[in-house]
Amino acid sequence: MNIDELFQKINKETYEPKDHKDKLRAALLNNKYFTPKENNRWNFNLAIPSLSLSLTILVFISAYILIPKTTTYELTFGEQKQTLYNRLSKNNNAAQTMDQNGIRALEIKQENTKTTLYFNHKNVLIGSGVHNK
Amino acid sequence: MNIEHVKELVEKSKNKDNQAFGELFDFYYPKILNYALRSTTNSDHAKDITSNTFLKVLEGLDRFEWRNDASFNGWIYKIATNEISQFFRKQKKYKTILNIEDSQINLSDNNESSKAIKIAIENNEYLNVLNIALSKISPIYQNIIRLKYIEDLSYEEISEALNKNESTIRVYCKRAKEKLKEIIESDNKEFLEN
Repeated sequence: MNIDELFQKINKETYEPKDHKDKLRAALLNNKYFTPKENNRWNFNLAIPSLSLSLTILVFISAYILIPKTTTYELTFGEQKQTLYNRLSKNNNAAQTMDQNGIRALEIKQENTKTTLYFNHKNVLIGSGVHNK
Repeated sequence: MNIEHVKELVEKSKNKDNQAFGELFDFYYPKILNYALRSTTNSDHAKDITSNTFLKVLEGLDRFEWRNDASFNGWIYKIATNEISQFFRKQKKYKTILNIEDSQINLSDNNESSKAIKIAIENNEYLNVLNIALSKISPIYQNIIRLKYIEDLSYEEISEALNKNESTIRVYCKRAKEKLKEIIESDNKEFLEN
């Protein structure tokens, strides 16, 4: 007998253990691989709360970004008033007085008129008046 | 089953049609189980290898791509061959390798069909002679001999299964057969003469 005859004589009868085959078949056919629709539905349901959460976070972030801008604006506004007071008080024709409540009056004398500007303790302009000399 | 039908079933299975996969399973189950059984000569191990093979087929099905008509057959045998090789590596690691006669005695499955398989495989002296001789040649040669001469795969399918080009497989196949012939003739003179 040569090697080719040996190959021929190898038992090529096929065996199928039915119990194993049936169990394996059932396990494979019920594998999660074959249930993608349920997975999609579940994912879709998850997407709604995720989207809501994302939107909420976006709103908070936007609000947070806007708040510092407002503060900056106010500071600038305050600085502008302070600058006004500082700038005017340095003029030669300006005279400062302060009353008991801490309100400062800045009198600016011009040819025929006297302008009085009132500033609070933060140097914010709170009133003004023009008088004839 | 012709190749066009296999292609159709594979595509349907990829589209999550479990009935199509069931049909593929029915076709390939006996091939893979008997490939594992002839390689390990142990029905319990053969069942484990077959289960793992089909689970891996399912896991990898979305990534499978047709390159030629031999692709799917080659791919499924590649997974089974890897599982069989892994089984032998584990056997070696835990130093329980395979004295083939010992492994046959230790069968624990009392199921009637498994007993019948056990008896048939144990009594197949030709298979035992072949397996003992194969255990003396390199793993790649073992795989080629099994796939070509026992499982009747084409060179193209073996090329897919073993990730080597077809011409290499042809050369290896010739060398493996010569080596095997040498071993069988020196170890089994009396057996071959009978």
